[in-house]
Amino acid sequence: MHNCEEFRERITELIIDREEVARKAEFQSELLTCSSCSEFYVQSRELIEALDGIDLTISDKQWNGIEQRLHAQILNVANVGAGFSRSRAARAAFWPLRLLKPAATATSMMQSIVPLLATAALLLITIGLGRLPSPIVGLQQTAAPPAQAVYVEQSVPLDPVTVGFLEESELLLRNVMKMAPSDVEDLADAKKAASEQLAELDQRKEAAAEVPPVVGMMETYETILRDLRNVDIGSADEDIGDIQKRIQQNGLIANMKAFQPRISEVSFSLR
Amino acid sequence: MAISPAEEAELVSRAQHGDADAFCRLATQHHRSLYVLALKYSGNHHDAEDLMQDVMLNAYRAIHQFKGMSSFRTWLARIMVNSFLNQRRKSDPLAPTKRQEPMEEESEPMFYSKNSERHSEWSVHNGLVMKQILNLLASVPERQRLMFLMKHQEGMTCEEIADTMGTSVGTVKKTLFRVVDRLRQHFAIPAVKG
Repeated sequence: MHNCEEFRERITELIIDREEVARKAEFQSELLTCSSCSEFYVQSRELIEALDGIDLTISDKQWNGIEQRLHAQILNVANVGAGFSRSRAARAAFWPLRLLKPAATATSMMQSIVPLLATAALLLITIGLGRLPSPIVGLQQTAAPPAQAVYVEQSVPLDPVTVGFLEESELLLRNVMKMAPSDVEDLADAKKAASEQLAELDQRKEAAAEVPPVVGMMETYETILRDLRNVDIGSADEDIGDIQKRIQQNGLIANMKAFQPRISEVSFSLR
Repeated sequence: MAISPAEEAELVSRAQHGDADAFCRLATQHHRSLYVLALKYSGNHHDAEDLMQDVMLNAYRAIHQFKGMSSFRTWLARIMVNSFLNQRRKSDPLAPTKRQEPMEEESEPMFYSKNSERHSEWSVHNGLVMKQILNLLASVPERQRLMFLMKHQEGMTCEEIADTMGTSVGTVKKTLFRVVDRLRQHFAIPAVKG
């Protein structure tokens, strides 16, 4: 007994797999007897062929950009992770060995105590010497480099304000990409946001001076902001189209995102 | 360039020991197909790149959980499903419901065609079909859309999809039928202007 829904469910998987259902004997009779199922088959095949035929070719230049940004993100996350490991290692080095290994033998305890005693003696001598009168200049010269600086966690050399600025910039760019030039209210909001961002941009460039790629990106962003601020309502159609094109060509949104450190909890079942 | 399973295992092992470059090489093996799938899923390049990056970063963070019981690709597919379905859209006051709407201005100009000059007519036709299909896909609920793309784009079996999405094979088959039925009812090949 032919059941249309059941039959169509059976052939759908085969159609998606580009199999010639009509040539299979087990389906032929049902396709011949049910015109509705036959129509389903023909239309579904056309749909899958159309899906196969669409050209999603992406230029090598675009691929390179995508790949570079992905690798930058991975390395960024890797650096954050390495930073955590360094901190853990630093903490482990700081604590006396006996606290980390309570089951240590007497010999190893002695081995661990001797360097500690030596360190304590050195510390006392240093404090004693420090109390001796000495010229102020000498104090500046003899100031020891901050050994703790080795353990300071700073995997992303951008201050939180700059990171916040990048987040805001990414959001503004996303909004611009989705903006219809005819929407006067959206355009006014975007122009206002662009002016505000421009006012802050020099300060952010200065803050990010040690990270040349961020400064370079901000310079490109600046040209976008200027053009956005100066968009004329009369020619908004063309101007916004041009701005959107440049945002895309420069991969600005992805770049803005690439320099924002992101740490999130991940939980996946074991495979 | 494709790598052998042995090379892949070596890269996974190195990545699990903190070698980020090894993970980058692994990512390079999969990021293109993932990007194209994300592109069909999201309908635009920006979201596609975001999605692809999210998947890869989540995979990197969870690489130590990969036990090699399945292929790396299968494991990545599971992460992809989690990432795609759990994604949180950034607050977007100017276009809060854009995802469910047709993508008039975005889909067509964003795709690149190598032979557009030589085959301009085909290119126009291709663009129309593509626009229509992406619009149709965007109208399909996310979970169903993802199942369909895993089948059509990735060539996964119904069993693999069921396993990846934590559902039954029967549900996958029913879903595929519903999606294809829905799409074909609204799909019509546009005529090329002579």
